[in-house]
This record gives sequence, C-alpha cells and structure tokens, in this order.
Amino acid sequence: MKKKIMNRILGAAMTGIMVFSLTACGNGGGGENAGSSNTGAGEGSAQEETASGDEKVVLDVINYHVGTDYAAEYYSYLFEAFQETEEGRNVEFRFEEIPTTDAFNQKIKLLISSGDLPDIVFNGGNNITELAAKSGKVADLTPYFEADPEWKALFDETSLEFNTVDGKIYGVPVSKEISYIYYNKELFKQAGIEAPETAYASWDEFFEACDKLKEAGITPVGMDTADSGWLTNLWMSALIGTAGDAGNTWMNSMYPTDFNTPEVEAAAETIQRMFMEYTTADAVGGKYDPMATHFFNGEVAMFPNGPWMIPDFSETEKAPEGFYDKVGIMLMPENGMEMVPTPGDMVGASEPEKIEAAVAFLKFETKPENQIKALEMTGLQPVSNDLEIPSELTESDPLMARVLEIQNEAAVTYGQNQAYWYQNTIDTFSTELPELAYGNITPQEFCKKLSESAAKNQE
Amino acid sequence: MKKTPQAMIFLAKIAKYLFLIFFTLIAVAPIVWAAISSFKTYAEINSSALSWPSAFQLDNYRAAFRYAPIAKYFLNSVIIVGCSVLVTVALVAMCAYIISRFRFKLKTVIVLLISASLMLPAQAISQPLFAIFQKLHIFDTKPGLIIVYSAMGIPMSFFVMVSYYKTISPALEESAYIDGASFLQAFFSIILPLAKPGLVTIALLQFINTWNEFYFALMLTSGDSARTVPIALNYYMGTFANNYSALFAAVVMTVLPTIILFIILQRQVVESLTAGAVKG
Repeated sequence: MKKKIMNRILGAAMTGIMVFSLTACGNGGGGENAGSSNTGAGEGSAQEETASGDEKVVLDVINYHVGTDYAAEYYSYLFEAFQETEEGRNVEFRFEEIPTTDAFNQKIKLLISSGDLPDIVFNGGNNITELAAKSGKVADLTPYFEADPEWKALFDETSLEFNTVDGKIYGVPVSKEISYIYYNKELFKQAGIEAPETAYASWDEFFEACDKLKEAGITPVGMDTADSGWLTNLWMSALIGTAGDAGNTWMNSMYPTDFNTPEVEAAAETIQRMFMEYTTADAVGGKYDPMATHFFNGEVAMFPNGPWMIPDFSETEKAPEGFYDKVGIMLMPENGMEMVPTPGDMVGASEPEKIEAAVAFLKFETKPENQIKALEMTGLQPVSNDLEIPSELTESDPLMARVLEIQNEAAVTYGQNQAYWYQNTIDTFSTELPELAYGNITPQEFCKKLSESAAKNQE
Repeated sequence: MKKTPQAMIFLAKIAKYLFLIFFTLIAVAPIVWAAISSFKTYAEINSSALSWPSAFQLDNYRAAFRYAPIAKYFLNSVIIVGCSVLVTVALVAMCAYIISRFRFKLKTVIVLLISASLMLPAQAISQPLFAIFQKLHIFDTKPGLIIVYSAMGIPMSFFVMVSYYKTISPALEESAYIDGASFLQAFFSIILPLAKPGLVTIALLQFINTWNEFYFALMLTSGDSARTVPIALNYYMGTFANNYSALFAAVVMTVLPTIILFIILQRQVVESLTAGAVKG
C-alpha cells in the first residue's frame, strides 16, 4: 500500500517538475517575431494616446509569417521598418500570430463571415480575395491606386486583374510566383549530358536526357503526391501549359471544369509514365520535404520549384556544404515557365484613419526597396517588372541572378493548379495521383475524376 | 504423438507473450520513434525515417523553444485541460447518477438533448460561439476554452458514466438509506468511491481529447494568454520551411504528460473498461 502511494506521489511530482521546467526554460518563442503587443483582432479602440500625447492608430494584424515560415524574418523587419517611416510613426501594430497558412485560412474564413476582420488582411490564397470582397468586409482599394499613379505603375495589368473582383481592386499583390527546374550539374556530368543553356527545346529532348540519366543509375526527376502533390503539379502544369495555344490557354484559365481535353489527358499520360519510369520509389505517397532532401543529397537530378528554395541550398542543416555551387537552373522544356500573380493583401479596417494607415503599410510593403529586400531575404520575386536589382545582390547570389535573368527568356508562361483550380479539385488531384501512378486508373479516368470534382462547384 | 499438457501450457505461454510483445511494440514504437527522431538533424529525418541519429544532442530541443512559445502554451494547456477535466467529471458524476437511477419527467428529453450535442460538428458552432464569446468578454480567455471543452466532453463522458453506474447494485444505496444515510451521504460516501474507475476513465478521455484539441483553441483565441500546445506545434510547420527536428522535440515534450498520467491511472482505467464484462 505504502509503495503504491509512494509511486503516485513520485508520478505526480515528475509531472509537476516537467511543467515547471518547461515554463522556466521557455523564452517566449514565437513572440520574438511579434511587434509591440499581442491581443485579439477586432477589439480595442482605433486610437490610443501615447506618453508624449500623440494619437496612435492601432492596426490589428493576423500574421502567419511566424515560427519556421520562410518569410518570418522578413516580415518582422517590415513591421519594424514601417514604424520608423513618416507614415508609420503613429501606427501601433497589434498582432495575432497564426502559424501555417492552412490554420490562417480557417480563421480568416470565420472572421470574414463574422465581420471581425483584422485591419490588414494578409492573403494566404485559398480564394480568400473573392470571399472577402463579396462579403463587403474589405475596402475597395481602386481609389487609392487611382490617386497614386506612381504606386499603380509598380504593378502590371495581370497582377491587378488577379486581385480585382467585380471591377474593383481589393488586393495589393506583393510578389510573383514563378517556377522552373533546378538541376544537379554534377549528376548531369556523371551521365555525360550537357545541360541546355536555357531549356530543352522539346519534351522529347527532355525525356532523352532522362533516359541517359537513368542509364547512368541516376533518378532523373523529383515528384510527389501528398500535400496537394506540389512537385507533380508543377510538372503537369508545364506539360499542359506548353502544349500549344489550346493547352496554354487552358492552363491560364481560372477554375477550369473540363479536364478531359486532349492536352490535359496527354499530360496525365506523361505524368503516369514519369511516375513509373523516372522518379524515386517513395514519390507515390511522398511529400515535398523528403523529395527535396533527395535533391539536396544528390539522389535526384532535376527538381521543379521556385526561387524560395535557393536559401535552402546553402543551409548546411538541409543540404551538404557546397551544394549551392552544384545547382543549375533551366526553364521547363519549350522555354516554359510557371508564372502567376499572387493574391494580394487586403484592408479589413472600416474607420477612415485605420484604412489610411493600412494602405500606407501596403504601399510601404510594395516599395521597390522592400521588394528587393524580400527577394534578398526570402527569394520572393518582385511584383514589379522593371526593378533595378543591386549588383551586390546578384554577385552574392548568382543563382538568384540567374533566376532574374532566365525569366525574361520564357517563351510561354502559364498558371499552376494550386493558384487556378478549385480547392476540392486540388485535393482530388492529390488523392488520385497514387492511383494514376500505379496504373490503377487510366489518364482519361484520372481526368474524369478531376472534371467531376470541379463540377461539384457548379451545382 | 500427443503433446503433454505441460508442453501445451508452455506453448500457450509463448503464444501469449508473443501476442503481448507484438501489441506492446505497436503501442510503443511511435513514441520511441518520435523520441529518437527528436535527436536527428533535418537531413537525417528526411533521408531515412528509421535511421539512428548521428549524435544525441539537445539542439532540436533548444530550437523548439526558440521558434514557438511552447512553455507558455504548455502551461496554458495544463490549466485549461486540468480545469475542464475537473468540471466535466464533477458535472457528469452527478448528472449521470440521476439519469441512471431515477425515473422522472423529461428524462428522455434530457438524454436526447445530450445525445444530439454529440452530432454537432465543431465547424457548425464555431461562428455562434465566436460571437457569444465576444459579447460575454470571454474570447481569448482560459475560462472561455474551459467552458467549451467541458461542454464538448460532457456527452461522451455522460454515456460512459451512465453505463458504469448501472453496474453498481442499487442494493448498496438502499442499505445505506436503511442505516440512516441521507441521499447526499449515500452518493458521496457509497456510490462515488465505487464509481472511481469510471470517473478516472472519463477524466482520462477528457484529458486526451482536450489536450489534442486544435480547432477551438485557434478560433476562440487571438493571443498567447489562452493558446494551447497543439497551436504551438504548428509553429514548426511553416510554408516551404518545416522544421521536423524541432517538431519532434516539441512533440516528445508535450506528449509526456499524457503518458505519465496514463501510467499513474492505468489500473483504474483497465478496471473501468472491464467492469461489467462478466456480469450475467
């Protein structure tokens, strides 16, 4: 009996010690990224009196660039730097941190329907712009663009159109998304292949190179199926987007519903072949991170992705020392490149002084200097087309310099699934890919499932 | 050749132990795997799921504290989960007793109402809850989450306890009444001690469910003051920048209380789960 009581006391003590040691060890963690304070969105007054008697405008922000997010450091810099400007001097930020865009999107959808949006609404994709615009809870930014032609000139028509709902601009795009192919120069050399200067002239040439790599015992391409099948999505988008005018138009259309077109079916057939012949065994069921590690470890020769991956090449925790120098960049075959405007940040404030302050922040966020800073710190591509990139940046980061150069050589550009398809169709793509990869369904059946899934949004 | 009874007993023993070892491995392997992975580097984790770490260093544990306010969220979890367990157990212990022992008007309606609440998906009630919480000024507070978690835990715990009370013979209370005990004395001194295994089970179920709850912890909070551990774990899962090493370290630190609690209470839980199993 005594022993039993003793055991219980010991167990309880252990739990207690653990709780307190954890508390003592902590240093606030994620709070580091936050600005001034941390309270709920939609609460508190618009203005606060400071010690010096100035009136401060308090802006609520829900920030998902926290924790290990690739842009956490950049956004931390951005908020602080804004408060040092003339427009931001009187602005106080009140942050809510929500790690991951998935969690952020869940919460923002709830806040859209309840009408409690934060003053600055970051955009985590997932059709948030349209939803927010149609709810009438975000500000129409068209008058602000019209009143400041210099600011408006920073954006091309496509980017603004992407953020326009019913003729009104609601989102301020902060970057462009592009993707292409990274290749391992050493593995190409081992297989006796000369990589093209810009891109393979055709998909046939690309697959000839894949065959040679295979003959040399090297896995040609990185692919995946889990978590929306990001890598496979990029291959598939390229196959459709470079399949003549019809394919390119299809791949640049928002919310397609008919997937049983000759171009999409042909692309699905090629994807099936790539799974069966040219990728790693764990691609089926695999997700981005282990596949990226295959590329870092020199186990895969070609890997489709965007410029945000470049910082990882020199991160020794992820890639072996010196890996950065082994990487080359080429466009997709037939000089194709995925390029989509990003859904822009919005203003959820309703009081005039808050709207003014929020717009001032969005202007600051898209200033040419900050677009370059974002490029430098995160790899985010500038939304403006004619920015002068400082030579120090291109010299210190030759791969980034090549990215900036090569995108001008793209003959065809197209969108990608995750930006243009319905969410449930993206999910179907990911869940049906293993079936396609194992040959359990034909490419036509695969496309039919995508069509059926997209059609559900029309009901 | 006919086997001797002793040989049969020996073979049966081996089969029994093999069976136990197999299921123990299934239960323990994920925890051991997470613990081993918490010492591996990012590259080691992604290269091979089953490899051994190159060195046992605490860098990942330090990183876990650096990226997320895990200590603060851990303490919040302990307070919120602890209180919701107490509230649920206290309410269910009394409510289930009355329902299982007495006949009264509207009893069926009450049971139906409690059953109906089991079928409400979290997403369907999140917006009304959000609005009510703001009106009552309990949004982003620990009491707010305690109320939600207790309310969510009551239906399941209620049915477990109703079944458990039915295994306790009413003759025990009747004897107590004959000996002069009041209703409260009979309940607190006779029934509750006998219902301990059932109460421990619902406490444990409530603990596990609320310790892992993510959706309401996200929707009904906005700051660090009431957020719980599952939200902290999301800090290691950034866009294109997952830190699995730190995530595993955080998982190990946060899963330990559940394991320790189960070890302490395992006897009562097993007793409760098997109670009534042999009742004819």
